[in-house]
Amino acid sequence: MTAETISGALVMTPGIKHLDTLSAREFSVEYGPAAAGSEIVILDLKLVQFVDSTGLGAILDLVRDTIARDARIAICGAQPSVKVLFRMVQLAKLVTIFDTRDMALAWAGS
Amino acid sequence: MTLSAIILPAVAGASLALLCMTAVRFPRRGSVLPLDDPGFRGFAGSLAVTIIVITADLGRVLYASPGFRAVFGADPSEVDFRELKDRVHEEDAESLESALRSGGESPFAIEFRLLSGGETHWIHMRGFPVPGRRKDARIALWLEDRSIRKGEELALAQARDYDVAIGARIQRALLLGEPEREYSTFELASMTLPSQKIDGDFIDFFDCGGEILDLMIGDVMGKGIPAALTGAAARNAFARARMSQHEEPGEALLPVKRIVEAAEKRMAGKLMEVRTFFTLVYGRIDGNAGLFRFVDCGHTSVIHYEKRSGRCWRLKGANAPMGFLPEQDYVEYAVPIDRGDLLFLYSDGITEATDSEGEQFGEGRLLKLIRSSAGLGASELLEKIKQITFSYAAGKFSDDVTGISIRMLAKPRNLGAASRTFPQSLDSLHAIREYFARCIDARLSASISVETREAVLIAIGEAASNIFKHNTPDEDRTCAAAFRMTDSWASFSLYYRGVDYDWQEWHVPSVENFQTSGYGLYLIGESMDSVTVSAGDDGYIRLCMLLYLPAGRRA
Repeated sequence: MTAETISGALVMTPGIKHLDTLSAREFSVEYGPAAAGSEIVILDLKLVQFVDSTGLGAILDLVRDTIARDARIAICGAQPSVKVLFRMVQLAKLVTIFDTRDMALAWAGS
Repeated sequence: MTLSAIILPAVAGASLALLCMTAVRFPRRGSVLPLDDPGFRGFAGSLAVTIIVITADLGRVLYASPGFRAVFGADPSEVDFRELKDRVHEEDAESLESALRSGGESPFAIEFRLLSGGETHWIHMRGFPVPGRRKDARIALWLEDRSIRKGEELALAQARDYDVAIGARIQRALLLGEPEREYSTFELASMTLPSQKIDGDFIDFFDCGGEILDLMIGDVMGKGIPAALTGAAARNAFARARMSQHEEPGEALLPVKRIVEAAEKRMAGKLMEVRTFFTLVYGRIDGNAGLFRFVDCGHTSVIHYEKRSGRCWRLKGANAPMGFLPEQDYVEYAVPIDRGDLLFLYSDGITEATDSEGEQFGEGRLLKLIRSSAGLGASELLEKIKQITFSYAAGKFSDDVTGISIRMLAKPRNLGAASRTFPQSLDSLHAIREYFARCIDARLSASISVETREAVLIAIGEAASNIFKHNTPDEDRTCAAAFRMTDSWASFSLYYRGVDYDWQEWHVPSVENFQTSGYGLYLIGESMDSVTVSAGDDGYIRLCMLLYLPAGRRA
């Protein structure tokens, strides 16, 4: 994972191809604490080619915890397969989703 | 000869015991009562039964109570128990003679027809050995004329036979449809063996043109005329539902579930009013497309022998019997069928056939029987099932035995198929998804959108993940992944060994409430047009996920 602060937002970029039942636990253990101190979190999924329901659960954990402490969170860079998943579960009802990191950073600065 | 010597060995019968108790009140000579005692003679003459004592070699009648003449139409001196064959029905002579010959050794009971005075009397005879020195050995016989009771029993049986015959005719006429024609891509046969009562099993066939046939099999709760009438009404409701919903010329066939819904509108309310219901499978065979679609309303499984895997699978749906609920969301399923495959639809009369020990034939035996008979034609398979279950139940079915067998004769048009095995463990997750991705990219890229491709791969990932998570990893076990497609559908199947899992029980998850689990089955259900999970006969399970291609959506 890479995590960098850009224009006041913590941008986290998982370096895994599959966020699924095999890697979801590792994602939760690593990303939850990393995001804990940030007011704005951007999850850039540009390297993740596939997310399954367990991976989705890990993302939702992160989203829930971030919103619970009154911070803001957005997702960007989702690959086609991941976009399909997000659409099927209507994730946009809960979290803002952008195609690109630039769009997400613009949202963060607004 | 003393009364106690004759009677006491025979205390098993309550009447005999009464006789003994009564007899002891008569004057005694020592501790016994002589048979020629006038008091005893008077008592014996008042009984509705006849008591006879003969020598163990059957050669001489030592004593006969006064009822003897009424039974035999002759005096004791005129009847030779060694030569009774002219006095009894020819079918009973041998067994009577055998019983009498053994009477000196052990008690017996026998029923036979005695020809006396030009009439046939049904005689129930009990015999008891009376111990003594060899030359004094005797047999006490107790004869009861049961002609009146037997006559009533026979009349009842005759009436019952008549009812069964009428019931069978009602069923044939009102409940059992027949296919209108033959098909080149599959052969089918049907049978019904009526039980001892009128029943409510019904079957019907609806020709849909080409190589497409709709068929149904149902079983009404209860028995008798009400069940038969309900079955007839159900058949009629489906026929009318089909007509009222009939597609316009050139349009696609009505989906199976739409037909069931239309029939439900006509029937469910009325069924609930009269507090009855029926189970049903309504199916559609498409011989060219190689597809069997069905809706199952709580009926027995459809058995699918799949030649490719060499296994029998139980196809089950999720709907309740019709009449349980005023309205249901019917779920339609579809499974690929190929040349050499068999489908068997049946009523529970087959699996509930019971042997003399009270054990049911059961679905397990039926699956094994079908698997071992997979080379037979549709009619031969039915005949074999009929013979074996009939023999198992010793010819006595408590329920109707109804079945339809279908054997696929042709390969589906433009069938494409591929398969590969993987170790049954989570480590195979990515490899299975990538395998199916390659199949899709090689064969289906022109038929489905990118979005559909991704949704299918999500479903496959969820399915494989579920399988591996719910079953213990085992290096010796493999999971087979099979891809099949025609112009109208594509299927993605996983064959694995493990525990059964309820794949039907899913709900739309609520992301707004931060629900973090329970998405897997929803994603599979949303991505695929049909998901069937079928248990095999040997611990294997087949998960078949099917997607209609644009051409198939119209059919």
